[in-house]
Amino acid sequence: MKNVNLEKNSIVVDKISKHYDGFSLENVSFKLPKGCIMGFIGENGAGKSTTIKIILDLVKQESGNVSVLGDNAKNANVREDIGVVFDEGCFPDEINADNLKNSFKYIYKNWDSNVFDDYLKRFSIPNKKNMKDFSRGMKMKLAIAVALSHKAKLLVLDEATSGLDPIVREQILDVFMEFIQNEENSILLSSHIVSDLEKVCDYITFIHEGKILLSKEKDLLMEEYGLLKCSKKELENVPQDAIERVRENQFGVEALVKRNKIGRAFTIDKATLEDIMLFMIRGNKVC
Amino acid sequence: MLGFMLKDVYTMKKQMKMTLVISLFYIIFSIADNNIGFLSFVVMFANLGVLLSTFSYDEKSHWDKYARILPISYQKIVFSRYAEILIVNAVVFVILMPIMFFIKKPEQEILEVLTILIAVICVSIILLSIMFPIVYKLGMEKARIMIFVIIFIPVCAAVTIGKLNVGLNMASFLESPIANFIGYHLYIICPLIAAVFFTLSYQISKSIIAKKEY
Repeated sequence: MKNVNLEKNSIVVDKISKHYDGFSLENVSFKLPKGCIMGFIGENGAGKSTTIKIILDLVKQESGNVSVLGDNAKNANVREDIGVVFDEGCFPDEINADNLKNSFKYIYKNWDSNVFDDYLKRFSIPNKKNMKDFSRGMKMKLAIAVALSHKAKLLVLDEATSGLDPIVREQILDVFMEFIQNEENSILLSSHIVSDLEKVCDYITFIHEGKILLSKEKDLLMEEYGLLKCSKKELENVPQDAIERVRENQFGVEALVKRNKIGRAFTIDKATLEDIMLFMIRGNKVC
Repeated sequence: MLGFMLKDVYTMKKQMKMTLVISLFYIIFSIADNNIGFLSFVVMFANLGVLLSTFSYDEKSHWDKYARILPISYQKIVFSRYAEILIVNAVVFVILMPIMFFIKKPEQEILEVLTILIAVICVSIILLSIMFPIVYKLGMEKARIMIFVIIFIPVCAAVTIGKLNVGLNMASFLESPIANFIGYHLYIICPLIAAVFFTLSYQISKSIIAKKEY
């Protein structure tokens, strides 16, 4: 990996592989530039969590390299600058927000209790209530408050917004947008809720069956692809290299097409991120 | 490390209160019955009831995985748990020692009482030293059966051997010079054995955690 890559990017994943019984991560590569939010999407079991665990050094890759903030998450000093939120929440049931504050004071060198208190107020999280009485939304907000209270430069969130109501999700996305105002900061956000990613992400990385299908700027991706709805016969007139994937239904066919290759003869609708994801996974290739 | 230990204290506050109440019951019972034997239950409750339970709470909340992304080395994470063993037993020793001296029978020597307390604490440390690597390796849920086997198989074996009367002459052994030497120096021998178990256990736990994937 070139040094310039490491300076510009918060995360560089370079051809990592990992094999389990029945599942393999194959040559996964992508870069998360500083100052950006990357949405990491894919269906259940596609390899999102395994990739994130390799990035965080919770799982060892069999081949390939990972750089996090110019170094490696093995290094405790690097972990000082990473804020992580897992799907499970991860704080014991008998503990409350004040207890966490007192504990994290001795764990993170840059821990700021005032910032943590501000987030608690903002998220309406009670200081003395035990975790076991928290809703899933409150647990997630508390985990995000912890992740943001030690001057982290990189946030890694694994399914952190899944299962939350739209109001809580909106609140959390606002916080992410504030965090990213500092151009040194960046976020890797894995989620099933593609509409959330569409709102906030600068980059999209799409993983399917352990392989990266695409990793590029969201705006370019949205510009690149469009939806063509037509009959089977009409589809035959479409240049083959313009058609990425096709799905048939009772009214005809829907195709995910590359706008720059299709010409002006066809009416192309906007493809959402969800459309692109669904076509990539469930659509058929045209031979 | 202090942060991890604080988190354990907060997590276990309910468990500690319960252990304290049960311990008080045994202490009162010991004083009333003038029998220091009941105090060994206090040592066991403090060790097994409080220290082992921290693993259950961590497992349930997936704290172990989270702990590995915090800026503390895995060596320190493991050491914090082992330091808790030492702290809990030091506290237990300081609390129980005066109580034992208070309720000891007049014919008992101070060294004898002290030896009993040290031996019970050391047995607890040895038990935890055996259990911790198993818990780190298998997780608390799976380790329960192993722990049950580890504690009860030797006990059952000892009882069975005793009943079979396989020619071991315990009475003559206990009167031998070696047994006398061990008996008089138990207050040194027990901590030495416990220290060996403790150190080995810490090293094994560390290597388990170093290889563990989450």
